[in-house]
Amino acid sequence: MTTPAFPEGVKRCGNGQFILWLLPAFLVLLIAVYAMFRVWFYGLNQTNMNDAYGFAIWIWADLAVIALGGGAFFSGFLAYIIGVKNVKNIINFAVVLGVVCYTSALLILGLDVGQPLRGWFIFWHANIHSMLTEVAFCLTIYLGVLIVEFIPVILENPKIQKNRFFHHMAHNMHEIMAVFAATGVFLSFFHQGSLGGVPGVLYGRPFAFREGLFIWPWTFFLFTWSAAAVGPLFTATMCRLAEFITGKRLVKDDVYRLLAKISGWMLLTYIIAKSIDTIYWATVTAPARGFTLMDFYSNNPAYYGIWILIAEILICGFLPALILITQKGRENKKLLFGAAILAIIGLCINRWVMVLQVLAAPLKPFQEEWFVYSPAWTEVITTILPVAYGIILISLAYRFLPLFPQERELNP
Amino acid sequence: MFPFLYEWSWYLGQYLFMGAAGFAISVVGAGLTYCIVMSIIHTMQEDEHADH
Repeated sequence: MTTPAFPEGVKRCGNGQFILWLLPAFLVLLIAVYAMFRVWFYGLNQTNMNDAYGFAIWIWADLAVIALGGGAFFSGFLAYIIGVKNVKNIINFAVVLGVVCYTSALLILGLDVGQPLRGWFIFWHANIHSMLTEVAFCLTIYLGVLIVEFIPVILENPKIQKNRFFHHMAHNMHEIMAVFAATGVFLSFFHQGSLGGVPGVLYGRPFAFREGLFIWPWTFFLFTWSAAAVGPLFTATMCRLAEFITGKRLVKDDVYRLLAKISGWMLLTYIIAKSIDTIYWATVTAPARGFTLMDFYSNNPAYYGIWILIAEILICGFLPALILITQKGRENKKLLFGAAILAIIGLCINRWVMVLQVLAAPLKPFQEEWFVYSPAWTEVITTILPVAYGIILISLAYRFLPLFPQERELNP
Repeated sequence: MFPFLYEWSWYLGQYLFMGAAGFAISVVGAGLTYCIVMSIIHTMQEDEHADH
């Protein structure tokens, strides 16, 4: 069906079908909101947090969605600052994904602090020596930037465009979008990096500690690089998923191939740097503190065996990178998106290792057992919340906003 | 966050951190203000043309 509220020249499903599609997501959202309020009303005793795991499973979800949302800042950098024109065909979708990821991240942080009413303390009583303060500042301001980048997309709805002020506003915002994009890149560089810096500076935890450059451990740069490499792949994969669900082509294949090529080279350079970092840590940093590499991958629950390192670096690092840098790999859609999914899994494993495996490793000489964690249902459902919320927001945005400039041409 | 708060210290690290944060907020704020002002001007100019 078409109505004046839909983007010009495109067809959308009927209202009934659209509501039916959203219903399961709304149900999950409802249960998640109930769990959220339980956590806020009764406190963090509603989770399985303990002395070893003071951040619950949320901290992993937080780091993962922030890294995957990195597609917004890196696509913005490519489109508006470097001037790669073809990326503009997917930039609106990247911004919507970024908004979903970053609002989810802040919501999860609001749960994780346990006292969201005191959330403003970190800004007002800022401890500027804390990497987490930098994360809080950059994350919050960057979400503001993302919302600013999202506004002109909303204003481009045909009904809103009839208002002349909003029409001019959308046009003027597009004119100076490079300024907002540059600010977003600056903020993203620091918050992605500082999230990596947090484990890297923990000199009391030899599994995480890394040396580095000035005040920044190597993990600072690795986190930023990995988010910039995998973020656009996540955007492309979600776009492909949207194509599968809607049964339409939304962007041309050359857009996917371009993103895959850029991400492939970024991923390859990242994974080489990550390998060097791991070898240096295993042969110099950890032995200097009395540990061998296998101390961190044995005598612990099966899920922290050496396989996790192999999976992260070889299977979900080098393998997708090598597929994506070859023309044959990029031209085969199944290979391209298979590699993209592997890279996304690799990024999620990296964030899991750098926060949850770090917390699982025994700290004191008399502790032999690794800490095992099983999250409470409230943690699990609120971790799934971003998925349900993402489905709702992306569906609404796809229905009413011109997210894909090539859609009309590809679906005559 | 502000010099009148207890935690504030007058040294380089504080200037860099708060300076960078303030700079980012100012750029976004100035950009948005520019867009709003220009949109008002453009809308008013269109109104004037319509009156003629």
